[in-house]
Amino acid sequence: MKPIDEVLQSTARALGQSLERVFADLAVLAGATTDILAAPGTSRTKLESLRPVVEDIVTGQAGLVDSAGVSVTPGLFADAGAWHQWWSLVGGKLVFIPHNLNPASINYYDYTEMTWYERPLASGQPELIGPYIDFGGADMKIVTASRPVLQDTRAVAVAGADLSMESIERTFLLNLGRRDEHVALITETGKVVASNSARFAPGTRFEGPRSGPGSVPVPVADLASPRWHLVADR
Amino acid sequence: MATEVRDDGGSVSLRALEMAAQVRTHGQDVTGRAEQVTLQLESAIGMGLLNPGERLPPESVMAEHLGVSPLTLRQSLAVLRSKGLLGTRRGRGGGSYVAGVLPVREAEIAQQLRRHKSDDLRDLIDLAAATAGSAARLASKRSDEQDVRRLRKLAQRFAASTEPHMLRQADARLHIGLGVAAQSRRLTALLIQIHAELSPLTWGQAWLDGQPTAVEEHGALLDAIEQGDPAAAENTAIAHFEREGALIINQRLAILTSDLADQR
Repeated sequence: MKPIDEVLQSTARALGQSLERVFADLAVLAGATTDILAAPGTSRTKLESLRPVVEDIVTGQAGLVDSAGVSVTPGLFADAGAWHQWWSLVGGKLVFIPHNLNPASINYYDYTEMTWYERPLASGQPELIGPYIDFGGADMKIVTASRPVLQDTRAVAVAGADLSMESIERTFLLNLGRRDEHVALITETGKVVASNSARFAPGTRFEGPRSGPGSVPVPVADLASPRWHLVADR
Repeated sequence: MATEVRDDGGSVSLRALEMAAQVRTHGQDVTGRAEQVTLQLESAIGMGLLNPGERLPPESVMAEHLGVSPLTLRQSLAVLRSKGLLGTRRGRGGGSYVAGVLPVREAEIAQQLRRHKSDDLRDLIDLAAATAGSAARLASKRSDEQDVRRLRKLAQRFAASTEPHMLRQADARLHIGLGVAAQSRRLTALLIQIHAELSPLTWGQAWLDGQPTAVEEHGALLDAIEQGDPAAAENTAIAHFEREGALIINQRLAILTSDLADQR
């Protein structure tokens, strides 16, 4: 059997590569959005032409990306205060997901206060958020990858993708390939994303040292926040 | 698979049918109403809400209580008959009766575990622990001698069970009994829904060595209820569900890890 540190390193690399592919796709989506915003017109309907870009991403990411889209800063369009142009794969088909953007409603999906939206606008860099329950949105426990959309040098929107916990778990288990040690994939805040043992439940806080020996960072280029880690408990 | 059972076990009560109708089926691969009712009745037999030998009410009454058309119900009953879970007696006073038990099949457990997501399983186990914990706490404050005697009987039945399907059924019944001892219809209904999803994952090969531990935990739980100690009752119930939940999650992770090893 290979030493555990070697296995943790290769698992971290595989996870890092799949996350970097998502961020590369989001750079394409953000670029396409910048181009659309530069074209004449002030209606939110302009964003509908992003559909084929999102379709390519969601199908190309085969299971990792559940849904993706662009959310704009309020005031960008003449015909909408805020706008959330997202599509999701439902039964093998890409469908536009309407969100309730009426502040008076109990189901109001105020994305402008959500971390995946706020953080890339503040940092100007890619961000990896979650796992969290996207109440009123995906209504599932997800991870969201997001990055800012620039107009000239100003961040005016956020391009994002919701990642399936199940798919991350598969990549994690596939590369780890064993259950002799308790291993958890944890976020920068210590939340468990995936684990090979019931001892660490996804979504809960990892109790124990997050760094030091037995801890391996998941390499993702350009991320604003500290990285995710693999932690082995021997 | 059906063992020879005669229809002399009395009648299935409408209450039992209503409980069966509360079994949630979403998250499973169910396409139509007939399939849904089939699954609900199958779960009810698996949990022992409906028992071998018990006669089913007339089809018109069943259809009404399960909220389906008589035609849809007949489709479901035909499927259950073909699985050997139901039998039919012709003539006056004839009708369907429960003829079989749902066996514990390792391959079926594995298939179900593959279908669930880890996070959904964790969520279900959290709900089970929270519900059972609350029921146990209330039971310790509300149950009288008779309630405790009933729970003890259910616990003894579990301890005396020798076959996996008996263990599965007796375990579910005792857990559901906590809701009854708590004098709560809603907690009972919730425990039924939870066990309809949870029970099919339990008492496979990996569980059998754990029967003495489960017997011990049930004993400690009933002691706490009998002594009227709400905190101990709640904590014991939660710990029991957490331990069994970890068995389920670890089994799923083991299956997934070995499935994926074949793809490497």
